Amino acid sequence: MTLSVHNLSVRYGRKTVIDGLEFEARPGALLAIVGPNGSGKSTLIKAICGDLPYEGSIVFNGTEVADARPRDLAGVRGVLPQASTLAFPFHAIEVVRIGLSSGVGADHADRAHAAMARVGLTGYANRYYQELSGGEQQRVQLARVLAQVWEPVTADGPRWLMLDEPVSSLDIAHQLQIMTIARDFAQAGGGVVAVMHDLNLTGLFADHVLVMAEGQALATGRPVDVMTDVTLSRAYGCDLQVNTVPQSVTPFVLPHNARAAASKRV
Amino acid sequence: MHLWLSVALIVVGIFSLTVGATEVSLGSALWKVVQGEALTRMEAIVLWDIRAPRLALGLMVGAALAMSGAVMQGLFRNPLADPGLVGVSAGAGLGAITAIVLAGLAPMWLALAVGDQLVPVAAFLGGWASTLLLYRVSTRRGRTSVATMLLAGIALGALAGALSGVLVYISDDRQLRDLTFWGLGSLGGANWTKVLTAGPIIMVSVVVAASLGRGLNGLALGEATAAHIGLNVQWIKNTAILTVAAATGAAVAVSGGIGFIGIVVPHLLRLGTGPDHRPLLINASLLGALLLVLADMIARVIIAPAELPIGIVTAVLGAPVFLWILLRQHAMVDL
Ligand SMILES: Nc1ncnc2c1ncn2[C@@H]1O[C@H](COP(=O)(O)OP(=O)(O)OP(=O)(O)O)[C@@H](O)[C@H]1O
Ligand SMILES: [Mg+2]
Repeated sequence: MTLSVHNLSVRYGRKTVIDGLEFEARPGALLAIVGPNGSGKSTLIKAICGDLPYEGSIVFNGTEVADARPRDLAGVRGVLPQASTLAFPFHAIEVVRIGLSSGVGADHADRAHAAMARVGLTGYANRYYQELSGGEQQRVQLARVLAQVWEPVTADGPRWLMLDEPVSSLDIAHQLQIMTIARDFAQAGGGVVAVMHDLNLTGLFADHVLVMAEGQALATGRPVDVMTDVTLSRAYGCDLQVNTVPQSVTPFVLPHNARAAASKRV
Repeated sequence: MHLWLSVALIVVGIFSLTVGATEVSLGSALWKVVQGEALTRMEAIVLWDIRAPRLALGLMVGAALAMSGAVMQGLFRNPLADPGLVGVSAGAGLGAITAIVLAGLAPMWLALAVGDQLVPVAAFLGGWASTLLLYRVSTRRGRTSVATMLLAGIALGALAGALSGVLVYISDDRQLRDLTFWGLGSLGGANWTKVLTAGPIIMVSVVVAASLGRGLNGLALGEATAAHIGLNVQWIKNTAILTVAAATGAAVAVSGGIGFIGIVVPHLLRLGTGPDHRPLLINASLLGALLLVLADMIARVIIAPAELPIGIVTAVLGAPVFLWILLRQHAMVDL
């Protein structure tokens, strides 16, 4: 029941965005995908979720993603896209319910409310989605995804969360809240793949890290092994300095000579 | 809401049978039927051959146009979309104008085969031809781009308009009058033949379209998310396009160009009961039928014994109501 990607290539027209990528993700762990803008993280998530044609193979839940039916995939994984839109003025709770409408857990009407509560949006059910703040909207979308794959493990096996920058517009408290939800999901036996820009949160929460650069895997492994000065500086093309939280192996990242860099601009 | 609309629809429907240019009272006719008396020939003709098919046609056309509007708005994720966007109206208009202007040139066998239904048949075929063309243009590797469809629809509309212009230019005065009236829409030519040919097409499309509620709700979250939550997006698109083309094509073919129902009805309902497409689609067909029958009644009595084209009534009533709603709304419409 793993997610295994072999020799994956994805093109937009003639432009190759992912080029021969290999990696594997297991349920029970949180895999963070990091890398600079345009390195192909979202493209990778889209390919894994069956949105894009690809070459190579992506075997998810025992079947090749390209051959899977949307309905079957929806039963085993929820997807949070990097950006979400909504066409008509639905209430927040309706957005969550629409996520359940194709049959997956559709009989659990109260699950939508429970999911809203999980992301700290109790009392927001009947607010118009379009009138919520950016972070609140993002949490509604998260609630939608959580409601869809509510139990991390079912009789049919583990379920997955595919999250493209799940905390990008959240304040620090909500970042921790959402990342904790994701980690709990993984620790309960579910799979989590999360694209991250915040390296410190990645160090805190990820079990595995895939560092991408220009459509390829620059490194994969445990945060402590992968998040090094050399790898990260190379991936992002700037001087980064990785330290370790005292009395732990949790890495945290600072721009090298941050002060000097800032004062130079003045 | 379904219930209220249904009751109102029945009341208006019965009422519409009693209204018309001649003084035939439904009450007395019904009484006669109950008593086992024979209807006068006049009563029978007016009620059974004129008003009843007209009512049936009005109900179906109204339901078809409003339902199609609601489906198109869901598909294009835009409250301003109307059934015309899949190319039906432009193609149907061109077909009708071609039939009106070039009828004299039609070969004998064709004239015999379709008889006086040449204009509706041509309109229906024209509508379908343009929808298929648009669909073809905007579909690559099994995926239809609704944005491409929108743009191609504008181009196709312009082209159909230009061709229609040529035909208008070469038409004589009587034809010009016919096609102007066709464009304004009317239920005046209603008869049982039209009801029985357009009816099944419209009924099937409306019933199938009513099942699109969940799918269109999903599309509101964007195509990618709709697929992620387990919907078959291409199937939804195909079904939406086919049912709208069939329903609108048939409606336009038998009644000409009747505007505004497709935009105003779903919009009114969204203001009242929210954007959820599951009740919306069914309510739209009920309210569309109701409003069209009402509009037709007005068209029949306002300048009796003459008749106003119904498209004028729907526009004169629909446009100000629509503007009033937009004015009253606190927030601007977000596209
Ligand atoms: N639809 C598209 N058509 C053409 N090129 C695209 C398309 N989407 C993305 N790209 C290109 O593919 C590359 C990878 O994009 P992708 O969205 O996967 O980046 P990312 O790693 O998610 O970046 P970010 O951190 O900014 O979200 C970029 O160079 C981008 O310009
Ligand atoms: Mg991205």
